[in-house]
Amino acid sequence: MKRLTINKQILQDELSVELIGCIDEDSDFKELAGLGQETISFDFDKISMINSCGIREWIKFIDLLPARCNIVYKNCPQIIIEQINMVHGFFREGSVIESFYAPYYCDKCGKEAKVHLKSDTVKNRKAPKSDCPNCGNENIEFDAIEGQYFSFLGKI
Amino acid sequence: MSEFTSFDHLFDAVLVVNLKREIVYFNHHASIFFKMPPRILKQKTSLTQICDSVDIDIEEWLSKALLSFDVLISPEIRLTIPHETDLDYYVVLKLIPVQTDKSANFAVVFHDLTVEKKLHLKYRDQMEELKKTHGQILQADKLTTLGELTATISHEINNPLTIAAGNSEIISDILDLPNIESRLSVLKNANQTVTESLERVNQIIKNMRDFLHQSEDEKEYCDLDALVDAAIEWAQPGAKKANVHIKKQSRVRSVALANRIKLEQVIINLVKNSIDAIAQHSKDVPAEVLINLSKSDLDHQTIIDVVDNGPGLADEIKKNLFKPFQSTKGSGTGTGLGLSICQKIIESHRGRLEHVDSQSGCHFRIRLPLIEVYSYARNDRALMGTKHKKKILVLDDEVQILNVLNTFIHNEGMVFIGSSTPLDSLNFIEKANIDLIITDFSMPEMNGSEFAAKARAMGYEGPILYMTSSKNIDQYNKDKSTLNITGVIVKPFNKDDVMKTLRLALAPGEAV
Repeated sequence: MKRLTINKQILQDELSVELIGCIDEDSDFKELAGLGQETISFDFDKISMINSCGIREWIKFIDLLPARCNIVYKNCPQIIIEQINMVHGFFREGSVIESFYAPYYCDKCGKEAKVHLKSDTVKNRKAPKSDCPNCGNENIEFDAIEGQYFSFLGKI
Repeated sequence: MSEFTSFDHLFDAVLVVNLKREIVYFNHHASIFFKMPPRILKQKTSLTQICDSVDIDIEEWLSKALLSFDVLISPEIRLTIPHETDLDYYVVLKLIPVQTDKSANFAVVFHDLTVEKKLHLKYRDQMEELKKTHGQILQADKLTTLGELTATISHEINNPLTIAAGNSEIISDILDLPNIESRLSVLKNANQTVTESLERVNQIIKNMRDFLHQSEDEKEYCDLDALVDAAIEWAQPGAKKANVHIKKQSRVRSVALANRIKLEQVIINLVKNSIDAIAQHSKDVPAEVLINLSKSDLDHQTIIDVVDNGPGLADEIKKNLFKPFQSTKGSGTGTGLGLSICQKIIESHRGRLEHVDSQSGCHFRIRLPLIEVYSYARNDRALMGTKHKKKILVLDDEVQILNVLNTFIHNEGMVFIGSSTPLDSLNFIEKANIDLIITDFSMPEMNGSEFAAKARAMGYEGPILYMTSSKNIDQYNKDKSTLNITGVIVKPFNKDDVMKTLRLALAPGEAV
């Protein structure tokens, strides 16, 4: 399993954090302590796995961030969205999920796709229309239970 | 299937199957757990199309539950998902009957223990690694100690070898004489001296081998007097060279449940440190290291003090005394690991190694739990969680007997509590719920009859067995009725003698 790598940049009032690998019992977010800016954005694009111990570490870390910080979650893969939906505290109240991936299926070419969505394109927990990245089919199906998958949007 | 939607609120994956074993519902978490979108899951009609296990036959197990229509819980099993070959789950399956208005069904709940299992395996491996590393450090320290002692040991070996060689020459000369008979007594003496000298060399080499032996995790009952003597013998050549006198004072006869070699290593280390410190220090009074053995009844501890009349320790050294790589010796003469290792060794005996502040010199104190307390705690911890085990107190001043009986009794799954003095035994009986006592008959402090009388006077009502030679049978015959002595283990004995007598005493009338 690939250990968690944390890349960080501070520009203006924003701390941008890129998380790469697995969030598990060995994950240590200490290196981010004290770096809090007005905005902290977390890019989850390259997270490959998260387990319950990693979730605990994450919640512990998020709890310690100053209340004044605006937290932004970017490029959340399906595994992160599932945790946000299930685990209280994974997503701090008032934070923003800017973008995420959603599962789609094209019944024309039979391929599954993770489509990158902006949160503001999802209305009433209904999956927005999307094209198949493989065959170009203009109306591919959402491949999860919409009410459940988009329930995190109610937290924003 | 709205009657099953309450399962959607669970964080365990749930598949609902009907009595024909067809999947009729899956909850939200099932899709996440099996890494299958609902579209795919809907196409699966049976459990085995979704998952499988090498540990149990899931179909057979399901049949069992269907037959009984009762809750069934599986052992922890490894679960595989056919289309996700990299995925390894450890789960407990729970089959719960679910009766609705329309049909009888079963909810198959997948309780995921993967993280716990993997953490357990990971930390077990890391603990093993740590133990291995710790063992290597210990061994390295021993080699360092041995290396430092080698120079003086070779001197020690040279002495008896010189004596043996000299006497061998005497023997040769006498053998060349025409009338050997007249010199027979000289010949015998010379021969005796050669034998003794070679035995001495043999003993020195044996000590080295014992000291270096690696598989030394076993603890045994050790006579501390003898153990300290052996440690002194090791340190003696170095002490002589530095003109330091090592003295031993023993106020009580002490037995410890310990790893003899490791404890010896600690004492050698402490004494060596003292000798090194004294050697670097100019003295007005004769240099001396005192090893004092005593006992604290209040703390239930055996105490070994190592005290010297050297320069003592500077305050800044005292602060980090037991931290690794702290050394007062010059570069190349000490690893700085000695005291840190000594402390770990003593802690592994549930004891403490501490520095005692004193006006002059240096004073280290080793505190070890009394054997009764330690052997009880050690055995009891090992047996924790099993059904009630009989607790057997064995009182004998011979450590070899304690070690033999410990092996016999422990191997039979009973709790062995060793004791070397009657007074400590009596103290312990008061506090612990002992099922049977085996007592030696001839002991220096009091004999078996006197001990049994005191135990009975304290209210101990369980069986008591004497352990003695046949010469004390008459005393047993008297005590049988007056002190309710249950039986005798006659010395010399074997394992069957002991265990059969013990079982009969614990359960009179039962076949053994």
